[in-house]
Amino acid sequence: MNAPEMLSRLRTPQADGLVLQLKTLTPLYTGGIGQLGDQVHPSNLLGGIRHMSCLVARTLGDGGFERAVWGNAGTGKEKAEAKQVALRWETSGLEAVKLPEIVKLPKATGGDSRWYFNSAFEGELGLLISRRGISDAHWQLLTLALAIQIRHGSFGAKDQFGLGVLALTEGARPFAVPLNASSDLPKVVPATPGELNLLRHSFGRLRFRVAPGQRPILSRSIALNLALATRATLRNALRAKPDASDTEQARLTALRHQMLGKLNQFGSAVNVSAAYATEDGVELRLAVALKPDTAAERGEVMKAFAAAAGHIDTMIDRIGYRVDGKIDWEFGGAHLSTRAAWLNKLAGV
Amino acid sequence: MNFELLAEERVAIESGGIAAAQWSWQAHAAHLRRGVVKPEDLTGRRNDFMISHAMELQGVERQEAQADPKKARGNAKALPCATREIDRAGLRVTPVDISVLPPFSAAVTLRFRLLTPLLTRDDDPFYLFDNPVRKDHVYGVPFLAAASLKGLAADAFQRGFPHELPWTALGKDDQVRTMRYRQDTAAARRLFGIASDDPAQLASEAGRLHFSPLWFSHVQYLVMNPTRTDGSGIGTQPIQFEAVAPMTEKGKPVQAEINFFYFNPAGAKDSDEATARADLACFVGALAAWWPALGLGAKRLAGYGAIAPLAATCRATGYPDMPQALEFSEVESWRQLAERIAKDKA
Repeated sequence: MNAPEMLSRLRTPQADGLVLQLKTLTPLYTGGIGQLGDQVHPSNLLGGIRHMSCLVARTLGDGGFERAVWGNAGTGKEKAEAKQVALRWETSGLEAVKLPEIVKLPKATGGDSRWYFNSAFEGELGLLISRRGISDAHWQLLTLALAIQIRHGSFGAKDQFGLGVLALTEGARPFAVPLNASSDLPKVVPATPGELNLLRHSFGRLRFRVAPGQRPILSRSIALNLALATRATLRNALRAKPDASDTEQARLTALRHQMLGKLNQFGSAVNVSAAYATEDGVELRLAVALKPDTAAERGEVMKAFAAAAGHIDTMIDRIGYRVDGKIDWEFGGAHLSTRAAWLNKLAGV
Repeated sequence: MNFELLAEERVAIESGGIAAAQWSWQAHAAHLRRGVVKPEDLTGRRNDFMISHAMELQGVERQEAQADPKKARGNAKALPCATREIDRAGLRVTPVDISVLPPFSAAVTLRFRLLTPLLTRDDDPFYLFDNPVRKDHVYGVPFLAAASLKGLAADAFQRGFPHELPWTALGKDDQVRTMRYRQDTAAARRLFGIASDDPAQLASEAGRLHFSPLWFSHVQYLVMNPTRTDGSGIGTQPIQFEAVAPMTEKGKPVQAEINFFYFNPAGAKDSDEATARADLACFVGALAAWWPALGLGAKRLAGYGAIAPLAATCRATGYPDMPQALEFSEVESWRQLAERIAKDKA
């Protein structure tokens, strides 16, 4: 075989990898040493994709996915193993944007809640995922999880406070391959506090309409205000009534902290995106990890969150928007017997 | 770093003739490590260093930030290294005299732009940070070792010209798989050689490729905060990483060049022109396809050390169609060089 023939046999990363062109619907932030988010940090983006893909794998009963695909750093007697996929982010289409430094909303208990932002990125970004040593089944699962994350989740940091919603650019075709909805699946990997599955998650969408007599302006500040008002309403939904017993007050405080976060104790289990424009109007998305161990408390959280939309208007009337209907929830727990079909639906395939 | 320097108080050093203005950021990092006996003592000193050197503070004075590090905000700063000094010493560029090599040997330079911070790992137990970038011991200039480059190059070749069996079917771990791949793939064996632990079973062979270290010019700092695995959703302890910076302190993109040569062992088996040409073309083609996708250095599969090709040059000996150096530029240059080497005519 001569040199041109040999060279023509070169396999490229694009040949059996995945190339995506994405755009930001809400600004993308990945932190940094000076808290300004002046660079895009790939490890932050990878962490989110890894997390979502493992949630999907556990939902499908695949407990070996994480190690087989994402490797491990080698701790103790465990030998380090490399990742079997590589992520390459093309960020030249992003530009730095300045966010409103502080967003304030009145607190239910008096005073103001404050959220701090600085800068982030907006624009287009490319993603190339190349593969080696990963089975076709795991590759299918990974791409399905990525599609779910793009359609219902978020990327990067501060995504509990509105940032990091991405979408495929216009004209992009669905890239995930649907699961066979009629095949038997292994049992769901049992959820533990550190390793949930998607059946312990809910995804929501909330639409807004312009208030009567107002002009339709969706600045970054307004988009974040809509998100944080929604978030504050969800937090308030888990507050005890004033006449509740001390025990009940304490129980709901613990539940609220577990779900919405408490400095140095709990991270947020609820992501509320900033509002963004769609063909049908203005909406935001919610992703909720149902952390409580008992089904009763998980049900209580979802019931409280479902009723919360009715109280958001009082916090947003000053910025010219109104809630348009209820939060449209996709509750994972309802799909135990139809897991594959539900995941296909979430992925849009 | 000079150990005598580390042993002295800063005041004593400065009174002895080294003015504060001459302290490089590297000397300061090494000196701050002095006297630390407990890991917790490091936190304050690391904060001091980061605030002093690694960020362009915004909206806060240095003293205020040092008193309360949570107030420190600013863009990451690129810190220049002593590239001029190492160049003057003639240590950075090691040109290969192609005329003294056997026929069908070639020297290749691949120039690229660094797009994201590149991580390497130095073994320096007396450094301020746990994850220092690998640096030259005398001048402190960051580099990627030639041996690391060879490993990355072999990985690119394995991906570009895979074995007929899936990678994971070649053995129980990457070391075994690599050995099997090279035994079964003649071009890989010629290019990278065989390192055998059991000479009775399999003799070691030298590869034909020889790499130079890959030098860089600027360093920056990163922080990673892994999430705890207990389900709380909060971070563990932030980990600082020193990294090769993709931008200079003036905001210009950092460029670097990879140098290697193919030594053709004239007279040995498979040292004819066609074999050498195919080896070199396939090798450069594999780098052109895979390195821009995978990057260089540690954590490259996560996206660190991403690169974009800028130019490619090949000086060869003995090839009738390559009396002059081949030169290509722009993002497709590496691929164009591979195709031109393969073509067998100008």
